[in-house]
Amino acid sequence: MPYSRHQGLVTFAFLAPAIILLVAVLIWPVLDLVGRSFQDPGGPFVLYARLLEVPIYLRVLARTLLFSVATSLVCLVLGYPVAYALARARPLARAIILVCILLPFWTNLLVRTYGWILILNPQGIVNTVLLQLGIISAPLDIVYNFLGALIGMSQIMLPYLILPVYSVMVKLDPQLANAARTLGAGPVRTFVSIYFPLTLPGVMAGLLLVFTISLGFFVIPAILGGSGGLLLAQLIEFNVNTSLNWGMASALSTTLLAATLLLYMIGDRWLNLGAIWGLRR
Amino acid sequence: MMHSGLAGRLFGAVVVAICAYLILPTLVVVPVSFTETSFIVFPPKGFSLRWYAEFLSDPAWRNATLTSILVATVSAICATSVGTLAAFGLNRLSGVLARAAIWLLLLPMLVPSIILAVGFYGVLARFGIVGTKFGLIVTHTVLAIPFVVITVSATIQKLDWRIVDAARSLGAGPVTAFWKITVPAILPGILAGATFAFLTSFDEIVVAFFVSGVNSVTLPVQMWNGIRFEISPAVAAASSILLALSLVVVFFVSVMRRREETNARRPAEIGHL
Amino acid sequence: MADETAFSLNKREFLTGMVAAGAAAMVPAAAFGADDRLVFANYGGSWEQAMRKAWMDPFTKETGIQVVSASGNTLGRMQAMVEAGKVEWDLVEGTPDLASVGIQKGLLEPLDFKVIDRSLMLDRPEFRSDYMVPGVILGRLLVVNQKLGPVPPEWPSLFDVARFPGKRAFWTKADSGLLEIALMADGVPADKLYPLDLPRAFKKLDTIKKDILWFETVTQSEQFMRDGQAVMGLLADGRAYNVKNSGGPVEILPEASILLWSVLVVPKGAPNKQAAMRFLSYIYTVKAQTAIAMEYNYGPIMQKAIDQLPPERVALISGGPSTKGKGVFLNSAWWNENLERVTEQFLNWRLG
Repeated sequence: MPYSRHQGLVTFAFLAPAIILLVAVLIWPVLDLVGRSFQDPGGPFVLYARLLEVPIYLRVLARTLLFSVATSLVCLVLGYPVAYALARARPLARAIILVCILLPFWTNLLVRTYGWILILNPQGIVNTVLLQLGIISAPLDIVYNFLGALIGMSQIMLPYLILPVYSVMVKLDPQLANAARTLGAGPVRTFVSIYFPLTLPGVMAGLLLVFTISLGFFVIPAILGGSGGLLLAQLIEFNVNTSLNWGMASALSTTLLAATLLLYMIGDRWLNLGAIWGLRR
Repeated sequence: MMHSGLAGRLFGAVVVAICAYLILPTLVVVPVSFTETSFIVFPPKGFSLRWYAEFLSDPAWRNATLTSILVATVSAICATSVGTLAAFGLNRLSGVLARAAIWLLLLPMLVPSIILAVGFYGVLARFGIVGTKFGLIVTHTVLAIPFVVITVSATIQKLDWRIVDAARSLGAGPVTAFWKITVPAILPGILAGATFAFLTSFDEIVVAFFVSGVNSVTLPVQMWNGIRFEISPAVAAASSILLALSLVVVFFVSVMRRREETNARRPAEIGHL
Repeated sequence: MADETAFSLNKREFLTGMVAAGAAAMVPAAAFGADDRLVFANYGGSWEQAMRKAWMDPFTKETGIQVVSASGNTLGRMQAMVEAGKVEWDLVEGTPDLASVGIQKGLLEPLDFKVIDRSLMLDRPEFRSDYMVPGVILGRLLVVNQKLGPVPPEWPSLFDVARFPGKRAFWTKADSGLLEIALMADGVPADKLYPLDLPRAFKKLDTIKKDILWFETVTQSEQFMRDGQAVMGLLADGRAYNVKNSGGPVEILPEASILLWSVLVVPKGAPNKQAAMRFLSYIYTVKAQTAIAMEYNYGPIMQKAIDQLPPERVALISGGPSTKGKGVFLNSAWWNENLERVTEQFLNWRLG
């Protein structure tokens, strides 16, 4: 497309409302946040030095990243088949699947979390059923640890993966896979080399959503995960609401932001995340 | 990828299992809401409608529900409009500018919400709209923009621009081509984005907690008031009523769809929930 | 800004909605200029209902001033309000750090002690301040499952995993009283607790670390004790009696308790601060203190009110005779100084 001044104006007009809104409402707090993290009376890097010095912070940051990656992967594995079924199902089945995906949203997050406790605890539904059936002899440890946090969090995040993937799959021509198979490709090969790459923009969009939202969560992992669910956002919340240490909260948030940016850049290099927006390398 | 024989059934079973996983913690809440006890317990003890009576008779719950629906609807509309336009703008950019724009548009999602909450408070106070529904709408619009941009961008990327060009060459103006060709073609992405925008607002607690005032309490804030101190089954009743309402909407929509069976198959269900 | 967007899209139906919503929202909450209304940010729930019955409704009847309850009574939100110069709350209830940090950061109005008479208040040095008054005495109590049989009402029982096997439910907060309990169980006398010997406390806690069930919300603590997921726990007093009164299989051992208190403060720039002072003056009467003690088991801050209660009620009151002499007050001054540092070490120990 030839690029002219007129084209540039049109592009700007498309972006203007969002940019105006974001600059007016969002940029100031974010700049203020980054600024505050360098404004300790003791010197600009005092807070960051402390962050490196006190062992808890980097440990929790590492756990937070690990937890978000794990949640994203679980969502991909569970969400991709559902998105596929959704894109290919008959209207009735599609409506039922959509209800399953979207209905949980009507239930408040905390209520759903308590629902999980009722299901997963040692005397809960899952353990009672499995014990009655004689499949297990002692209750499974599936809550108040990393696994419990992962089970609860993945359920909350799944729709954020399914819908973007679905919205790409539904545009793909169902004849495509058939054509590949007629040409002699096996089902696995058809999937790996034809179908999956075509859905990659949706997959990347979904993973990006799940990963970044997971980074900022704290109440649900903390309730379902016990000590295994202690994440960075909880430390930020403590600094904001309990100790009013804005400097430390800012330094932690800036670190989380920087870590996310870094991961994104790495991902962009290796996985071509930019494909979501049609950017070419 | 064909659905025949054993592989197809296995695939179906897997999908059913995942759907069960998705819906189980929500379904557990329904029986709990009929308990006679003043706390949440499973299996529920006795049968009573007292928590429904409490939910329906208390003006605090009613107002919170109406506030949430209003705020979520208006901010979803604003975020979808602004975000869809931005996704188109983004698609026309390249290089450094594109990357800068992407980061700006994703920022609301990347900054922890507790930090945004305090920042928003200052901004809204400067404009004199803190504690109002309008203020809530502005912040929830901002929070929802990334969801719309991401989902719409993913579909724009798959858009076949040749059909738009074809429409233009047949004499359609740019605006007509946009509304008649482009928007319908990317509708799944827009609807997915709008759904996320609505639900982001409808379930958002951290920012709402900070910027809502006495006159603009949303449903999650009202529920949180009930939950932080003691988890009353009224919260379960509230959830169950919302579930029932959305099921009625789904049923209504599917009946309507059956009537216009012959119409083009548009994956429009997303928007109806 | 949002209106411009709607215009640029030319979606008339959305615009109508926007304008309607905007207009509704523009009716400011601060339209009530005169002190005929008071916004009281408190903990909500059944405690709010008790206060409404014992304090707010009689106060409105007497003065004509409406009391509106608000939620989200956190320090962070109060700071945001004061720094933005738009304070919506007139009176705030919270834990002692609300006052100590609030004073330190200059977020509070001095109280008018010409209006509020605190001569009958319990005499503890930390209760005397120009910026706050204590609200009620709160307790954190040892709660045990009935199936354990009789449990000696003392802290070492919590650490006796051989005699009382099962999970122990503790709060995830560093200042829940757990560290103090560990030290007392290890032999430190109650009056020699501060400054806390953290390594010693953690060493003692290590002996039961794998038996701890952490709760993040007080609701969760009730659930743990009610369905027996934990056999022992340190629960907030209101929660503990909630479990017991709703038929939970528990015994409460009030002889072993940690005591603290709530504070009431007026944020700087509160729009109806005269009304707030009058409300405080109202609740600082023997009548109001007795009334609240009849509604809820938090301890009143006046001995005269405790004296007027029937004996069966007194037995349930935090800070009352059942805990007297054995209940240990948290040292809020020390915690205010050290909360952050201790929290870091506490979390590190939990993850270790």
